[in-house]
Amino acid sequence: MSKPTLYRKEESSSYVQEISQMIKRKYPWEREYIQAVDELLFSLSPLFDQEPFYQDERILERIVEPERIVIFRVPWRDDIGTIQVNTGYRIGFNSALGPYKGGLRFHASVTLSILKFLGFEQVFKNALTGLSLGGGKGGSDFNPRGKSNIEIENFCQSFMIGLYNHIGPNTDVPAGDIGVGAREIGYLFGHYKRLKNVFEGVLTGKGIDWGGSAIRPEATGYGAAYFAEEMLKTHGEHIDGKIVAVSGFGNVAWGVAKKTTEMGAKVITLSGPDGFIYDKDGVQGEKIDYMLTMRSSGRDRVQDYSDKFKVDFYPEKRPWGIKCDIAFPCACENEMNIDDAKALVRNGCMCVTECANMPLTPDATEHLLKNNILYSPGKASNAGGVACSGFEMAQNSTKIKWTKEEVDQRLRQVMIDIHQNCLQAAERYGDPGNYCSGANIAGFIKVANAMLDQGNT
Amino acid sequence: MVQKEKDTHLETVHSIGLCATCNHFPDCAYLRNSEKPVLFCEDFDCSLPSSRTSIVQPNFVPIIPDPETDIEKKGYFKEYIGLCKSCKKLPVCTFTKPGGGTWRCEYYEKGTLG
Repeated sequence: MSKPTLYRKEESSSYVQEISQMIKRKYPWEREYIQAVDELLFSLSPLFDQEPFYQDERILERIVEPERIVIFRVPWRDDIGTIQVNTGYRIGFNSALGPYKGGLRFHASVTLSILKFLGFEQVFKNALTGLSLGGGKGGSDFNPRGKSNIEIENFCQSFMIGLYNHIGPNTDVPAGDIGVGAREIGYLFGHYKRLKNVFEGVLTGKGIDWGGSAIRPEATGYGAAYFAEEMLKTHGEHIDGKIVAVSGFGNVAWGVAKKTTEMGAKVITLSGPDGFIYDKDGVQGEKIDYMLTMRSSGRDRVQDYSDKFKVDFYPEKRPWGIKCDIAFPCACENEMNIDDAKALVRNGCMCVTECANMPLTPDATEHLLKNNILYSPGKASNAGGVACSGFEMAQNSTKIKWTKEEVDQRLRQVMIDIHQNCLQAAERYGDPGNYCSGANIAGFIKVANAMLDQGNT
Repeated sequence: MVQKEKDTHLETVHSIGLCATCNHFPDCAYLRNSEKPVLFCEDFDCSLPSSRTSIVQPNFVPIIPDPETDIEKKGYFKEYIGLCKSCKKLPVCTFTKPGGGTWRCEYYEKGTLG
């Protein structure tokens, strides 16, 4: 059996190359979007080689074009009384599987190209969950940095005035993302309610007392732990008794630490932008709770952990040189490079589970795959977050609140299903054990088949 | 000239993605590997005390100013609109200053500073 690797551009099918060229001709200025389309399509080549009817039905031509894009003006008044103007966007990328679902991002770097990139990825990630979720993304080039609470509220209200006609619990259900947290979701939801005169599940990430779901903050981390357990099972292993390295100390890292510890593992590292800590006794009990304290302090320093619990702190370093069985990168895009991957392989790491979005550089991924390390891409292993948003929608529709245990149980089942789908797709299309192409193919097939069933959409 | 500065700023924002406005940018341990703009980060943080906090809730030093000191030279009063702009009690006033200005005040006393 050949070792699984990432798909290369030159090996891709002519259909894929044709679509890639088409996108480049049509949207030459959308660099990020072109890159996203290329990366996904090239990994789908084996599928198109085996299933020509996708090409006959021009599925790729349809799938790379968003169903709709709404662009609107967002005027708002700042604290000095001056009118400021930003641009608002909402992209409904694909609704073959359900209402558009994806976050809102408020950041100065937001452009249509970036949102199309994020929206495109979201379509297939949502599909993998097996829930009724389409894909979308939105946001604004509004920069929350240095804005007062009142300015944030003014902006959110104006943003919702531009958006409310285009969203709804059965049409498009935005969530939070960078720059859109619980506070912004509250302001957006409050204004939607006033404009439409309805209390309905139009946004997810809501407060637990007014429509939010239990364990939403932990869901991404919990889901990743369940996914890792499933991967290990394929090699006759379990999380129980394993040494775990985690990066980050936010919600995702917290969820991973909590769940893997509960499953019998020992978490020995956490990291922040200032460096990482090594706790040889394990991050457990009150130490896990302290992660929340650190985060809410707003200091964003993991060194605080080492000061409190007297463990080693390595400034400006990442934790991947520490010997571990399982690595969970939970912090930042590209946080793990080829040198980190080599160190993990050298130290006998058996499994790398992405919890952040794209935390591995492509050459790091390639290195892990070549060395037969169990590796899962974020779109599969961090789908617990969006799955929990799907649960929030379901609870809102039925007006019934699920218990923590109920949500956790359903989350576990979703992650087991995602794992199974990835594994089967990889096997079926000639790349056994490669969760990367398995995830891409499994997500794509779900969306493409729904589109085929629904006719000319 | 102003336009050029703006363009350069936008270019920077787009070329480094989220990091452009992140508090951790100058010494971030994660950023070292990135050749492309970072679009996802769990540790992204752009929180900052509002630049206009001083207008909404001023943090005054409770001393009576000497009109001839550098308070005037620093353009202290230019930050305000409404009555506050010309009130001689402004430097010791603890009332909230709304962004839209204060237009009625029982304690207003016209001074020469504003």
